[in-house]
Amino acid sequence: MKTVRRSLRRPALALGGIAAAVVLAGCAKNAPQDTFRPAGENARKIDNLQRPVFYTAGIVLLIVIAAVVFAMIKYRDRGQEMPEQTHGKPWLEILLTIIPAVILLFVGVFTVKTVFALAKVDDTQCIVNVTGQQWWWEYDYPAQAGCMPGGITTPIVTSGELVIPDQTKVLLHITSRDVIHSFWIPRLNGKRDAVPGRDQTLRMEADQPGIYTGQCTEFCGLSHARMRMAAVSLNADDFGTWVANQTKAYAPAEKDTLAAQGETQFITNCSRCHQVNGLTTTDANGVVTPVLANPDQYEVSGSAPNLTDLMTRTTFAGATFDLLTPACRERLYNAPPDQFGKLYLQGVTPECFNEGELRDWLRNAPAKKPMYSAENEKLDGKYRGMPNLNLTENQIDQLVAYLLERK
Amino acid sequence: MLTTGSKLTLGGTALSVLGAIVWGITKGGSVGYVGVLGLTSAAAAFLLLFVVVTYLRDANVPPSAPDALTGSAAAQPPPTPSMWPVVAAFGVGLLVVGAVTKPIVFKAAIVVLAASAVEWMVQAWSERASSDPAYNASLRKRIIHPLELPVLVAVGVAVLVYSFSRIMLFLSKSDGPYAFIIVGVLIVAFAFTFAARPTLKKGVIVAVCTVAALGVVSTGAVMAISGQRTITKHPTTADEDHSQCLRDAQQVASNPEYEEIEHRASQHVSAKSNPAAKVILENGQLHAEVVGAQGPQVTLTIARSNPTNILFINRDSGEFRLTAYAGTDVQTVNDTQVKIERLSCTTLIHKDGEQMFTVAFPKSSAAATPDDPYRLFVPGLDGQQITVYVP
Repeated sequence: MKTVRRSLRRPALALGGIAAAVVLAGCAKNAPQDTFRPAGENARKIDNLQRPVFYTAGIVLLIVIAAVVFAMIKYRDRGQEMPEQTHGKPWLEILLTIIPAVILLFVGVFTVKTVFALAKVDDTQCIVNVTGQQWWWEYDYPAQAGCMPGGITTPIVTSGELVIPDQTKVLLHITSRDVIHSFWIPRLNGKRDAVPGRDQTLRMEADQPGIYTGQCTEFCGLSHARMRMAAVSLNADDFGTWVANQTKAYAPAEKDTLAAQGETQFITNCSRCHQVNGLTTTDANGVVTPVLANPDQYEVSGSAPNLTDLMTRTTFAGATFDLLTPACRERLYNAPPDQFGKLYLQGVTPECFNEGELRDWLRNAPAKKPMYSAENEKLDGKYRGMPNLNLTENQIDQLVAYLLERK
Repeated sequence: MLTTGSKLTLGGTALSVLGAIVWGITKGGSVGYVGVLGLTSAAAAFLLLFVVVTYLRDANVPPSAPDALTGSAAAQPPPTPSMWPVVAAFGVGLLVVGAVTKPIVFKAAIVVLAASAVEWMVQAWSERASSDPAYNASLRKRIIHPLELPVLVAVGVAVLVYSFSRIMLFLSKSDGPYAFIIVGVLIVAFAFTFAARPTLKKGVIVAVCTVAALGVVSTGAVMAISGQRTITKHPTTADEDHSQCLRDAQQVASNPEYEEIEHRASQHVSAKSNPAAKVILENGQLHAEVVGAQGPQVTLTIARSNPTNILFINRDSGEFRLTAYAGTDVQTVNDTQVKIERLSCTTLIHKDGEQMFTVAFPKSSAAATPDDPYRLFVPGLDGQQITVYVP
């Protein structure tokens, strides 16, 4: 008997160790996508529902496990005689039916109440259109009376980071250009699928300034894991500043600079898909024409991120890669709410610029973020994401200089 | 000398080889390759069986063997009557009919033939398993029932569902819900009775269920023969090839009888549940409603290159169509480059009618000029438009 117990000790210890590791994995302090740390009204409604359900389910689980373990130990086979076998015990069966029914009814009432509360849209204060495509999110702000005092008069389009005013009920209109994606910022609300041809709504409200990260939660292809998102909450004044920055006139690169050469490179290599609002070309006769991107001719999704204000964002390529150095990123993510807006509105400064990431991307984008099963593979003559443009180091220098000024 | 079994397997080999040759000659590409491969494999398998059964002489006991009187084929009882040859013959007839009529009949014949072949083989095999007919019958049940019962249940359910669908398609839209309610109430009533009276004889329950099933099947057959109710088909460009969107009041006046055909109207119920906006014509005014936006809107923001569903509702007297202008496209006509307007539109919508309209704007609004913006408008109603901004 002792030998048997000893032989069971090791597997039991290993099993206990695995269980402890699983439990301890849920204790991460720095968990930016923690659903148990709501940072807005809708996420709090979900949290207020899930916690009691979680605790109730936990208590039921413990009772069941305790009863099973008790029965296993107390009535284990010791060679005793088979006890008297009885059939049915109506009062016990009724009780065991009523108790779960009452629990489910209790959970059901509050679940339905929360579902209706989360679907409320009639007091919306700000609207943002969210469009998913492989593998990034586009955010556009229609002209509207809401969002901030005086409203938004010129529509804005950006990508990667959803910038919203804090303490404002923001309604997202979510759709997709290609396959089904799912939008999820865990600390601000639940998930909502982005389905081609359907307009789905999701409400968000952030209590205070900060950055809240998320992740596409519907498998959508090769780089699904690299289709990230972030909601940036700014106070009313800072949001107004951000809107003003996004709508200001285009500032061309200064003549005879590396950035000016980059502008030419951008027009030649990038503007087929990427729009920079206000960018123009002048022909030999002095006729000025706007540079218009035509991603519908080159991209499967028919779109590519608008790069007008790239350096006002902190990430690029589907919020996957940092435009900020790790130190600056840490400083921004850990900034107290009252200082966050100021820091965020600085955008990417030369000293915080994570140049290596952008250079790597320009050098060979698909190598950094898988987009094709074969190099530069096309579908119906179109790319699924950014192809390898085979740029020279000189061209990359020029483009980086140009893009650094886009804010 | 060739035994019965070896003749069968030799025939199978010859047939497979012949089939492979014919298939290889008549079919090309991957279909031909796969077919030839399959038939050649079958020929190889038959050949192997031929060698085995010839060597073993069909496992027949030689007359000189001690148990020749009990173990030889001649000593075995004759096979019991079987319905499967009849079913197989019916399958062959069906195969011929299907070959000259509809592919679905041909496919059904293949299924009937395959089923009868399996059943026939298992029955024949089980009858020779031992000299005890009762044991042989139980052996057959043990092997064939796990296959037979699920298939029969699936077929039964399919027949019932199909019959019920014929009934629902026969009934009008308003009568359908009542039929559902009556059927539902009957099912609940019978279920309640059966549950409340556990002493009820099994035969009664079986009889009630059988009568109900037969009732559904026979009513379904009658209604299938009577034909389904008239279901109005939405016109699309697939039906008409003269579709063209009218541009303005002048064109409307010169084409009074022109019936417009929608280019991009989505017929999917799922699309209709979540339109990006409702565009409403009311009292001669065109406005949009967007979920979350306060009050009527005169501008819409629509993502570029993305088919977007809009619900057009006409609350005015008369028939109107919503038209989308998405800029111009340069096309070559007779070696000359001409600008073609990107127009798409709904059909003519009568008073209180509505239609889902799928629009797509391939270019950003930066490609449009301020005096000719992308827009949604109703030809004939000057000044009424929803300006569309495409980021």
